[in-house]
Amino acid sequence: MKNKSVSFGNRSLSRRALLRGAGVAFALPWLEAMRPAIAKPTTRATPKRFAWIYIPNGVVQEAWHPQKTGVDWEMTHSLEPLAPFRKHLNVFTGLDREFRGGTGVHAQAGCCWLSSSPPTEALDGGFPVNTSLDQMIARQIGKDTLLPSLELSCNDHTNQKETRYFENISWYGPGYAASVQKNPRDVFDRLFGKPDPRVRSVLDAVLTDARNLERSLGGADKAKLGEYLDSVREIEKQIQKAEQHFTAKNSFKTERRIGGILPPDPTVPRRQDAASTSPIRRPNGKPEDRGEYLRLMMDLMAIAFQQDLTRVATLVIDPERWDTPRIYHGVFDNAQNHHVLTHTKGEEAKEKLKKIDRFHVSQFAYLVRRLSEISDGEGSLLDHSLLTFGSGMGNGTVHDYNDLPIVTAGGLGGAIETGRHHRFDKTPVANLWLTFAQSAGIETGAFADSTATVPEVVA
Amino acid sequence: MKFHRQQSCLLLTVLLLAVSVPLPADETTNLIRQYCADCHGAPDESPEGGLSLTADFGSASVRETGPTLKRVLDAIEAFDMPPADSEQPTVAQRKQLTEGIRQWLAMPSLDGQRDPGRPVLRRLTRLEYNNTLRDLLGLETDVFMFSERLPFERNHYQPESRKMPDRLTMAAREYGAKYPVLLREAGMPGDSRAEYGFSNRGDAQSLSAVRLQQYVRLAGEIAFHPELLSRAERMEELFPHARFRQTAPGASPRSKPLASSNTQLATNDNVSRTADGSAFNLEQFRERVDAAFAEDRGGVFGGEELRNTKIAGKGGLVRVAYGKNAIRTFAINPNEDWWFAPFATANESSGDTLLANYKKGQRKYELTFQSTSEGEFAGISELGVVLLSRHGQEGTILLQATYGNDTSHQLTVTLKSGAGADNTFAAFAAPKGLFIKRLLIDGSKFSGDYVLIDDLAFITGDKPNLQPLVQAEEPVVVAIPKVEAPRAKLNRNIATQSAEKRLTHFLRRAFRRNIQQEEVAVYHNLYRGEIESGAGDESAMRSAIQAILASPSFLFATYRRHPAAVNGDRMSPIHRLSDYDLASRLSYFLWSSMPDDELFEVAAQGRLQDEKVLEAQVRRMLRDKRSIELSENFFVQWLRLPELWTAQPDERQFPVFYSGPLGKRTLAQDMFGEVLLQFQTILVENRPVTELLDADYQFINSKMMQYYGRDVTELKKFADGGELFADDQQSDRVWNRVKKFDSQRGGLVTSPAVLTLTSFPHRTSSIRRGVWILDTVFNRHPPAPKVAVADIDEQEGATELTLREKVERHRENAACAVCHNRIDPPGFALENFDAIGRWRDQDGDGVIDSSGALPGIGEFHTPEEFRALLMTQERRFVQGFAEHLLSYALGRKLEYFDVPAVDRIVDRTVKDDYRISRLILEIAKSYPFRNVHVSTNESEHEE
Repeated sequence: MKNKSVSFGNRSLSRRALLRGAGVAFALPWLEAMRPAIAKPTTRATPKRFAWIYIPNGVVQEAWHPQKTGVDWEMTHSLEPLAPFRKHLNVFTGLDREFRGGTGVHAQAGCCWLSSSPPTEALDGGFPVNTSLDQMIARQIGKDTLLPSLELSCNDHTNQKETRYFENISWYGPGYAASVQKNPRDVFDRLFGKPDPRVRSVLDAVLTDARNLERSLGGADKAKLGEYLDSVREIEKQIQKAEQHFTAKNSFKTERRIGGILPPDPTVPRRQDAASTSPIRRPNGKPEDRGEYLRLMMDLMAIAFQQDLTRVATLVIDPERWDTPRIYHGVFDNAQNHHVLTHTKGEEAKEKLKKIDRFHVSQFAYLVRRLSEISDGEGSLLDHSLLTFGSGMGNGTVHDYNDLPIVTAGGLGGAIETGRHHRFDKTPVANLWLTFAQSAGIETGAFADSTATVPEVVA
Repeated sequence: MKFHRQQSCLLLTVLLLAVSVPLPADETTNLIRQYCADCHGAPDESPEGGLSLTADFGSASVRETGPTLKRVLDAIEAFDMPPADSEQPTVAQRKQLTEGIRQWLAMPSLDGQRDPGRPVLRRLTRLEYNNTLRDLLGLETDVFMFSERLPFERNHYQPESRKMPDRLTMAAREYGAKYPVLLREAGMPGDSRAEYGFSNRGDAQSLSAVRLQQYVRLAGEIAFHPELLSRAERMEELFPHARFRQTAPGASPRSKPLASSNTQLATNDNVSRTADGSAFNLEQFRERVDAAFAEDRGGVFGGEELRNTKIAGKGGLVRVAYGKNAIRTFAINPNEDWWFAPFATANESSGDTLLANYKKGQRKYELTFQSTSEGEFAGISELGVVLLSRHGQEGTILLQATYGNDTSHQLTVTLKSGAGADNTFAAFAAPKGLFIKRLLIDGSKFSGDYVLIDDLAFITGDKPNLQPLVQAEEPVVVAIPKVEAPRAKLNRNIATQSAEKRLTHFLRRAFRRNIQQEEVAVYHNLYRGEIESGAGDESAMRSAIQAILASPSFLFATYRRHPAAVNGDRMSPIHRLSDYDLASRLSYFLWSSMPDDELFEVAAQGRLQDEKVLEAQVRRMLRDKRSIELSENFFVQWLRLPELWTAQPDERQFPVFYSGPLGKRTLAQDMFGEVLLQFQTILVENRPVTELLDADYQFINSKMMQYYGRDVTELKKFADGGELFADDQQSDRVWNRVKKFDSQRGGLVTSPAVLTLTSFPHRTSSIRRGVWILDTVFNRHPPAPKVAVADIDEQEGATELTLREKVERHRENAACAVCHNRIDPPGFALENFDAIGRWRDQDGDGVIDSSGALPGIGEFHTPEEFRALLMTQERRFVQGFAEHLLSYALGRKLEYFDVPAVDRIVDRTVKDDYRISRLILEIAKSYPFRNVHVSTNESEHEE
């Protein structure tokens, strides 16, 4: 592939300027980077991958949860788009989270979905947020990949009307959110950009500045500056890893598997460049079409997993509440307000909500399909992954945290038994999270407000 | 250690009690016991709401009891407590209670002094980042586009005149439309706001590797921007050969081009075919244009920057700058009115703007390509264009390229119907030695009224420009006079000095403080490293700039430990802000940007601590145009006006909200403009802030005249009561200040903007409005519900009830009533205004009952009576406003220990007729603004 077939973002910048300017510039050729360079499947067990995909405001539960348990569960209206993959799924009912008074009920549903501290702990201004499950697992299994974890969001509302507790589900610790990336182009550059050696000298300088500054600051400010220092170190690590990717480029040509892995799909923008072997081209930005936007983010997630650039990812499909109308292309003729619909009486609103639920499920089904089509060691990428799709709110109309909608896909390399509907009775969702943490190899007997594990899902 | 500190605080408190005027503490404690402790008993008696009020407040340390006391004070002042069904204190006892608590809260709580508070270290917000770079570098634009930048023109804002014009022009671009910036493709995620607060708070922000990486990258794109030396005036202080507003050596001088070009040919991936007979297919042409663009001899014009404009068929020209350096231009001259617009029934092949005939049915027109006075343009040798198919329309379009010798070549394309379904690319190549002079687009046989094209891609016969992007390193002596007087007083002598001196100068401004020698060394080493590896001075300096702009000292607003913060013989945790830190706090408060040279100078001389100097600076800064940010940043965030841009009132119920093509022109911009101008008037004319509750004037444009159902003959000029110009009925850009004409309204609370943004698309929400009033007007937000409940206006089995009945039914629950007694009545009072703020007497079939009572204030029966009641609460409003503004100025949440400072600010503002500049001045002079609590390990040891 030639340089010029990638569309450079900024017209007024030269290549030279770009190379200097970009932290990790999207210099070419980048195909060499596409080969999993660090963790070679031949020399190691196939890695496990984890992803969480969040939908806000709960769901219409009557159209979501099946009645029959076990392997014979009946397909429901909302879950139907997942039907082709039912043997790879687990559906859960009866998992709850306890609401802690004093914070907004929507905000807490989102920000504490993966970090539900026990109700006695309020470490961040009343919010029981803590290191979230994905981050704990990333610390366990993400050390060797280019990125320890990937945090994505399709919240493209521009009015900034809500606080960060509404849109972050991933937390490094109390009060320390893992910022989300919303622009597919930025995600692409972060995954496939070639490291620019010059950035090293910039980082050296700013690190010195940060240390000087640290000396003149008080305790609380030091903690906040710690976020900066952490970030510098993480970028340094990332550059180091990216350089390894770029130097290890021997067997790529014989391995031609990359181009064929993701079959052409009309929903993925693609250049009409037949010579291109890239699995995806650099996105121009955010697609206008809602479904296209969601699927593009999922494609990026899939590629990051396939290339072993990261093993842990989260995607916020939409933030909690944020009642700004949005267009669901191909679903409704005009803009809809998801949150307001949950509080609107009548069948019309309920039917609309069911359509939104189904729309979201079908996007998730797209990711499941993608991963099932990508071969990975022995089996598919789906076989080695555990994708969790759901919400931190059960019934959005009454804001409860009971019967949380949670569906998982993938067997995590045989660690998780699939194909079932599990019904629990008022069981903390943290029990499931604890089970996942253990299956990632974390040796712990408790996570957040867990009371036990969920042995039923362990193969 | 903690225990130890508490003890010493306690000791101090007791000592101070002994020496100061005896407080009626016992009496206050007794009153709390009498009226509160029945419900709020001892901690082990499970007191109501988990709040125990049995402590011995009179002798306890205010550091311990302060947060509780503040809650009690707020509850009593708002008449939330004691609950209506409990025994009520007399008026005198209430006064005693609140005054007693205020005195407690004024007690020293930290190191024998009042706690000035400790903001969490914060980074610059997106808006501050852009403003700071503008001032630091001397740019004329933002660095990148972002949604907090309001789409309004600012020419009317002339604070130095101390008078808002009575008739002014304020144009607005469509919200979300593009505007000129330094980096068109760059961006940064928005800033989350704090809960009940502003986005400039460290506790609401996070920084992670993703974001830092973006900062590093942006810093690089700025530092290595090819036009940095000609677009950033301040670079003349850093680079010997930088010339503001002049093009680089070798390039032709350039006036501002109307439009620029890029290489983004058909990036939307919806072109399905290439026309028969086309000289190239799309893929081939893309490569050719890419190559030509890189050599400054081609590009793609897609009309994006000219969106929603028309170029006149007679005399109109579009000048297009092309190539990666955008140093060459040519002009397109259409023979009929030409239009750049989005069409819902077509899919643009790039961006979201297409090119079309302006006159309906004028389906045939010709474009002539000509050179400009601005230098070389050999002519177009290859030309490509995308013909757009359109929903419900079809037919044949003829394209004809005419060459220099008047020969021509034709292509016909028959488009099928469907938006984007049959977008077709077509290209011409001029015979050797000839150029394409004209392009005829003839859609006479097309069924639609408009012929839509996009992505005019062109390759010229120009010589390739192979100059490196970063310009020659040697200074070039060109003496060309400035176009305008420089905006800042530049010190060009610096540019001739050593790299170290230049860096010191730049660092001091970038970091907004004094720079230590070892700090300069960091960046000087980077510079030297670059030089040693073969870079020239300019390139090395650019590298240093990149690092500086990515460093925490630039990105964060810091309050450093003051070396002289000594209390007796030890380090105190309370520091008076250094002059530089005070200057920064002031400039980010008033300007949302860095200090200017004068403020720096005063700080450098150590004079800013002098109250008179401080006051003079505040007054000067308020008269500077940059103070517009108080309205565009503080005011807008305070009222949550950005939510107006995304409000989508139901199109069937509220068609009046939408107008223009595709209904894209909404009233949001006019409603926004109305309240923005109101606040700017108060600011510029130093009026009472209470005018936000009611004013005898307002600004109005043609759209708002329609909205209110008034016309120019009914409205009277505010200044002389005369009539408006009849023409003003026509223009939404012209705003007139008129006498108040609607007795039902007055102030923000009844403004269409606020009434709309607090409504749902289909209906009003009394709860949202009530909460908005408590938050915004009084700054006493109700706490989040303690239990997870459904929205209060959505009760089960209540379909037959009116909204009000539903809400009232919910309030019967005592747990809900505590807050909803405060929330609901103001919401009811505004029920006469519909979901876009228009007056109504009925809601469906029900007559609206807008009566209610405000606890402790009085009863009302109409919105007018409600507003009259609000006007009796001027002091409480000013207090709420002062708290919001102080919190914004400090970048932190207010705490119990801020009560005395707020009281003092409010007292003095009331005495000065509520004037806004007094309020701002008193904030700048206040104790928490000029001091900071810096907890250091050392000071904690010593306590």
